[in-house]
Amino acid sequence: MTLGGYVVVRNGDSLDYSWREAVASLIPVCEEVVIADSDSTDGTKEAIELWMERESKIRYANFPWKNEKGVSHRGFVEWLNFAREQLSTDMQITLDADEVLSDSPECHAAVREAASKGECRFFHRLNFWRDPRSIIPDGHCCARRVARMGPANYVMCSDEPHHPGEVPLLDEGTYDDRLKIFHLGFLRKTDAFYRKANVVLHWWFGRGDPRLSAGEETGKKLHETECEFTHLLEPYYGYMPDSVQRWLSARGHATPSYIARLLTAPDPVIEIEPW
Amino acid sequence: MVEQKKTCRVLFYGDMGDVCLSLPVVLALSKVTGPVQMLFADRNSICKRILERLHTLAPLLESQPYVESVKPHSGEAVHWAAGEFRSYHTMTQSLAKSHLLHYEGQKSLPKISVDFRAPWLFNIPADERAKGKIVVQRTDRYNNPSFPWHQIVERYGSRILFVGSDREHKMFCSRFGNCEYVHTKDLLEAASLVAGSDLFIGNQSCVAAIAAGLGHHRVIEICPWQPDVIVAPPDEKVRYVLNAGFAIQGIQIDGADQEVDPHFNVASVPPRPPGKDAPGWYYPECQNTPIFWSLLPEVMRKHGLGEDEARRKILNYNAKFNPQFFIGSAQEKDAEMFKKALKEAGA
Repeated sequence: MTLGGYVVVRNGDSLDYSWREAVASLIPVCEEVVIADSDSTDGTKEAIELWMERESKIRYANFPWKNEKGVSHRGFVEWLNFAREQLSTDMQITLDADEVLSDSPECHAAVREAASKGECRFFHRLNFWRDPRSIIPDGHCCARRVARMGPANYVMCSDEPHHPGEVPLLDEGTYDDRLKIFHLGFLRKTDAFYRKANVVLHWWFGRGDPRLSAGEETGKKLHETECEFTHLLEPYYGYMPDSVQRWLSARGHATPSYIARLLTAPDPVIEIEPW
Repeated sequence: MVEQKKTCRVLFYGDMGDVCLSLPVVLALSKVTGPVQMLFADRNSICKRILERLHTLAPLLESQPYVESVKPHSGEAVHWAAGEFRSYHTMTQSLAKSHLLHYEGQKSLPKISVDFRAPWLFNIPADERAKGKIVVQRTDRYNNPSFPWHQIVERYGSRILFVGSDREHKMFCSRFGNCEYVHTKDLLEAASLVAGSDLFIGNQSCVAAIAAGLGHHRVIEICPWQPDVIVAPPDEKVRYVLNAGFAIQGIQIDGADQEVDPHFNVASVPPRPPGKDAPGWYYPECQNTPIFWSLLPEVMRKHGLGEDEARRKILNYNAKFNPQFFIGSAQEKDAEMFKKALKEAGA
C-alpha cells in the first residue's frame, strides 16, 4: 500500500509555524506529500515552489481562503479533506502545520506497519507548553491521542470529540504509542501566536478569548496568562528529533543537550547485526 | 576447523542507573545467547557521558556470570542498541521495563522471558564494615520534599554509612545532619556495602538499582513527578515511599518534618497549586507573582532578605499553606502517578 501525507498551512512563515519541519518529517515515510496552501500572502507559496524543485515528493495545492467567521471546525475540516483528495496514494497521513512526526526508527516502523495493513491509527501527541520540557496534561487544552492516519478515501476530521459512527477513521483507529507527534504550536514566537490564535478563534467560534487579548496587549507570554493547567504540566525528558531541537533553538528554547550537541561531532551511526 | 563462538554484543550509552536497571533484560538475554558483551559509548543524548566513569561501573558488571566482558565501543556492529530504550520510556514505567519494551521492539533479537521480581546481581561479597549499618545514598536529582531524611538521620545517624560522591555527602550532611561517609572506589564496593548492611535507604539512583538487583532490604525515596524505578511490586523487602511514614527491617519512621528543606531544588518541581485560588508558588504579599523565580526577587526586595532567607520564607509559607504537598500526603496527582507506577510494576 502506498502512503501519502498532507499538511495544510496559510502564512506559515509570518505565523511562525513549524510547517517545514512538519512536511520534512513526512517525506521519509511517504510516497508523496501534499502541502495545501490557502492564498498565503507571506511568501509561503514561493517557499513551497522552491522546495518542490529539490524534492520530487512534494506537491502544491491551493484551497481558496474563505475567511468566514464562526464556521466552527468545518472550514478547517473542509481544507483538510481538500488536501486529502489531492493524494494519489492508497493511504493517508496528516500533520497540522505546528506538528512534527518523530523520526525515531520505532515511529517510522509503526507508520509503515499501519500503512502495509491499511489500518487507521491514533498517534500519541506531545503537546508542549511553556518550554520543551513541559507537556500539557491529558484532558486539558488539546487531545493527546489524535487520529492522523488511515485509508486515503476515509474522511479526515478535526481533533474535536465525535460520536461513534460519525467518522469511520476514529471508529476503526487503534492507538499506538510508538507513533509520536511533537506539537510545537504553543512554543511559537509570542506575537505570532497571539495573531494566529485570535484569527482561529474568530474563525471557528466567532469570538476571541479575553486572556489572549490581555496577553497580546501586555506582551505577556502565553504561559504567563491565566491558565487552568499550568500547575499540572507534566515534565518531558524524552527523545526529541533534531529538526524539532533546531526549531526550538531558534526560538530561545535550546535544551542543554542540544547546545552540547552543536558543539560536538555528530554521533556515528550504530550498525545493527541481527542475532 | 574450530567454529568461533558467537557473542551477543549490547551497546549502552545511558546513565549508570539506566545500565543497572537494564540488567534484568541482559540476564534474560544471556540465558538464550550465553554471556553478553557489554559495550559503552558516549552519545550526544540527554545523559551524562559514561566512558569517563566506566571504571567505576565495569568491576560490578564484570563480576556477573552473564557478562562476558565490558569495554568501550569501537564501532563494531551490535545486536542490541540498548541505549535507545528512552523512546519507550514513560514517567511511570520502570527503566527496567522500558529496556524490555525496547528489546521486544527489535525483531532481530531472540525471544526472552524476564522476571523482574528475581534478583539480577549475584556473587557480591558482603562487606563486613556495613554489618548492622544502614547504607544511604542521595543524589540531587529525583528528590521528594516530603521524604523524612531529617528524622532518619536524627534517629539512625550513628548507623548510617553514606555512599556516593564526596559532594553528595557534604550536601546531605548540610541539609539533614552528619553521618559517616565511606569512599568507594567503584560500584562493586558500593554493592558489597549494601549487601553487608541491614538496609539501604536512598533516592532514585544507581545504588538503589543495585540494592534492587541484590534483592536487599531497601526504602526508596520516590520522586513524585517521575516514579520510574518501581521494578517490581513492593514486598517484605522494599518500601517505595511517596509520603512519610514507613516501617521496614525494624526501622520505624512516623512522619515528616514540618519545615521544608531550604535547599530543595524548586526548579525541578512543576508549579503546583498551594491553594485553589493561587496557582503555583505563593506568598501573600506578592499575589501577582505566583511562580517561584519571579516571586523570589519580590520577597527579597519587600523584606530586605538575602536569597537563601527569601527562599526559605517562600518554601515555609507554602509548606504551611499547603501541608498536603510538602508534608504528609502528596498531591492527588502524585498519588495517581505513584499508583500507576505500582500498577505498571504489577502491584
